[in-house]
Amino acid sequence: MTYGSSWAAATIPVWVALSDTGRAHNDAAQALRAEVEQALPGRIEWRVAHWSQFAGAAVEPQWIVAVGTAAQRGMQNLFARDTTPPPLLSILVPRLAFERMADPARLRAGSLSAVYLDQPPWRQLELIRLALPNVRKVGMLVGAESKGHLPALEKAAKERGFELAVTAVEADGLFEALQSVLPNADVLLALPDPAVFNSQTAANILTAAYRRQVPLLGFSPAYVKAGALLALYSTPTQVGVRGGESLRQALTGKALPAPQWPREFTVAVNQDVARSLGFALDEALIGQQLRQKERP
Amino acid sequence: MLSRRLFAVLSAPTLALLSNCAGAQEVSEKDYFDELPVVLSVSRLAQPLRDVPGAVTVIDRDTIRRSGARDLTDLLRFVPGFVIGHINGANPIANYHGDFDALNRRLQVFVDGRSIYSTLLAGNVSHPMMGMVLDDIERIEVLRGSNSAAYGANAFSGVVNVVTRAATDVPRFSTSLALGEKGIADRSVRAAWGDERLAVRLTAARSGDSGFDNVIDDKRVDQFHLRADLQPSAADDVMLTAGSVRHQWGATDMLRSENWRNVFVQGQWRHNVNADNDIRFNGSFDEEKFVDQIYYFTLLGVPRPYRADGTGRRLSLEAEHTTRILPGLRLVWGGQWRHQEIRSPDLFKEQSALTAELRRVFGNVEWQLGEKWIVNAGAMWEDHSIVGAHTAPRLSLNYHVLPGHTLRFGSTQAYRLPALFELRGNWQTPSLPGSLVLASGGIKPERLVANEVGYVGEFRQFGLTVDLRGFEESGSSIARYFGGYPNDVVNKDRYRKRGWETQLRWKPRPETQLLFNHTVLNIRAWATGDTHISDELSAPSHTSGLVWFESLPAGFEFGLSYLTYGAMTWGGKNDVLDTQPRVDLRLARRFNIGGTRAEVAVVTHSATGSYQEGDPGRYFPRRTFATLRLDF
Repeated sequence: MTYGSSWAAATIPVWVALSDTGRAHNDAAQALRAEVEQALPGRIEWRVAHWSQFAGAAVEPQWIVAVGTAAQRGMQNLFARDTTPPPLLSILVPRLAFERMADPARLRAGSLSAVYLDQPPWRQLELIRLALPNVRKVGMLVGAESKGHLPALEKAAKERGFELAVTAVEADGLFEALQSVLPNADVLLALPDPAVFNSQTAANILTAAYRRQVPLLGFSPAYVKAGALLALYSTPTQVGVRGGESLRQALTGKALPAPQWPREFTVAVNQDVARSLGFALDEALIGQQLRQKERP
Repeated sequence: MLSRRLFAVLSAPTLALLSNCAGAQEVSEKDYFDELPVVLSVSRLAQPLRDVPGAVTVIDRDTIRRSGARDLTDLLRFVPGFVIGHINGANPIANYHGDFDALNRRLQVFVDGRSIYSTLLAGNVSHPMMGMVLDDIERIEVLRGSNSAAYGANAFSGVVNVVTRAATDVPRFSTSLALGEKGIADRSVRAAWGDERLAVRLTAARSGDSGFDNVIDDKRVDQFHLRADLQPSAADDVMLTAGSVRHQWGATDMLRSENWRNVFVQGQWRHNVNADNDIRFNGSFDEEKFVDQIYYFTLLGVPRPYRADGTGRRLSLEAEHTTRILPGLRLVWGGQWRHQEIRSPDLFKEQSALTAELRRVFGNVEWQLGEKWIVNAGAMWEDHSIVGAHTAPRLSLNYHVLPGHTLRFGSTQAYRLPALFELRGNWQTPSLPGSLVLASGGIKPERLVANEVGYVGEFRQFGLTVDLRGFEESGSSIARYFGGYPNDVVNKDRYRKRGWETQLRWKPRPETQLLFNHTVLNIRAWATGDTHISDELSAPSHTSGLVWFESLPAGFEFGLSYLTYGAMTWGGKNDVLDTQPRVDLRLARRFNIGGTRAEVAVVTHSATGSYQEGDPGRYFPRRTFATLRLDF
């Protein structure tokens, strides 16, 4: 056994499977690697590629990081017949997508975990309280998919004295849903659901809400650019860093932490919309106050 | 092991394909990273009240619904500075700070960006103001004070901007009915359909009543409105409106009956070029027909009909560009061309059509200087084919003293271009030889210089908004029918109106809304010929109003409004009106029958009894009516 090979044996093979080779997924992967490398420099043998390129790989990974929904599904399928598949950390996945795919047994066993892309309900509501102190009624348009967020949101709303006005969007019934939710809402909380919020419907929802002077809280920077008053989101880098922390923990012998929300987040305000609706909002200050609230 | 990998390789694309199809409605990170078109671009965002270069009263849909009002004029009672009068029960008129005769041609009224006024009847806006169904209105923005720099010559005393509800914002089917005393019978049906790309609403309505007591003024308004909203792409939206309005009054078995009909079409296209540039094109065509039929008696006592009929047409085309030059500097500029045509041998003694053309170029900048100052500066250049060219400038400074507290200083000069009747009118009646009105055509545009200071206070923690406006409005070259017989239109009158007005909007708790208005107005007038009492009292020296809306348990709603006026005259006559406080009451209940939303209400206008509002003998009667509205 040569020195070189013994060194090689000490490296840990980790696969980073990307759902997409675009900027967002790459940013998340890079942030995750940087975070791990900082603690364990040179110890990892990274293999970063689109998830479909791992089939037929010669070396079995010790750890798998899936960046995005398709990568998680692909990696799970790849090892579906293994009795002891390598532990999998899924990052940049919406909670509902992760939970749909996750095998509860593996979750319990601690060989599967995630860092979600979405924001925890309490953070969304605390942001509303900070930025829009007069808001009592939080309106939501939900579809079959985003209904899954309701139990947690309802609980968080109750604890904070908010009232939820939820309207389900039936097929082809966006306008009826808007007519029913907007008169009962002080703010509209957008929840990702391709059947409700997509590039086609965003224009209708934003204009209808604006006509009614109901501000919209979006879940991505694109919403703020398009005309939402504010958005709360975590950037791929922020999610990647959190993912790196989880993986580092696991690599240093501790158990893989349970699925978690991204710790770092960004608050963005569309100043033109804020001015038109009569709000004076400082995105940096609100973000800072929100972070302070979460600190124990 | 190998077989697994092989299987995975083969199945991977298939699975991806499947997940794309089945998963089209399933959330993935893609939802977070998708780009969206800019929807609320620079020109689609309205200026907030504190940055607007003038005093604005907004009447929202909830207020409209709970007011118990039956037409637009009724609603303007709740706007500080507005004075309501009646030629008769069928012809209500709303003026800002009073006017010196019984026409309303100094107010600019827009419906979805289309200027509404009668080309034929000297620019009067009263008939077109009948031509809207209140339940179709989303919001009314009333700009109190002159703003010709932004809206042109008609915006001499103020601007009423009516925004109707988009086809996508109304229920699929609605119907309403009102029945009550004094012949009140109003009904309307509305249907809406469509999707994200094209949505249409259609409204048909008929309203009517028997007007005032002891006056022959039965009224009926029939109207039909269509609005289509198209969204061909994320960057474009198109609005099409069309409609017809027929306002008729007098009774068929009486000696005089009048009716005014209007059909219109309008198209507007807005295109979002990029985040900082928007363009808008607007075109509209209006046609009106007026029939005034009177029976007169010949020397032998034989009744003979006399008609004063006419048609008016106008075509208006407008283009507007909104751009953000710097982060805090917005510019709106554009141009308009308008063609007006009148044919009325009865009112003009002229068989052929009379035409006038108007060309306009306008520009307005809004400049934010730091956190505290907003400068609004603008001007409009107008060239009228008969009267010539004029420029109306405006400058306004808004100073944000503290968050929620804004002071405003503004100065503007406005012109009102004479209507064709004031330039070329020649009105004869068969019972008299010669002309009743014979316009020599020599008049200049009316001119107004207005200075104002304003304050807007937003006390969010108390749910209170305060608006205060102090003003001095100096009018010169004001037109008047003068000479007795025949009357010429001369414009040598001057006036100076000084005063202040305030509006408080208070929502102490979600169930309670209070609105308080108070206006103090002093008019000095220098009129052609004798000084007229009517001029100096053309608006009351003080007006106060209180509106109280309360939401009660079990879907009940209560509304009360109280208005009181100081002494005033009306319609250029020297009689001081017998005004009394006016009290309106409304009790309603909203409930659901299955999926249908219903509202029943009982409304009483002028609950404490009749009072004079308009010409001698024109008493607004107490009237109670019930309404039913169903939204399916």
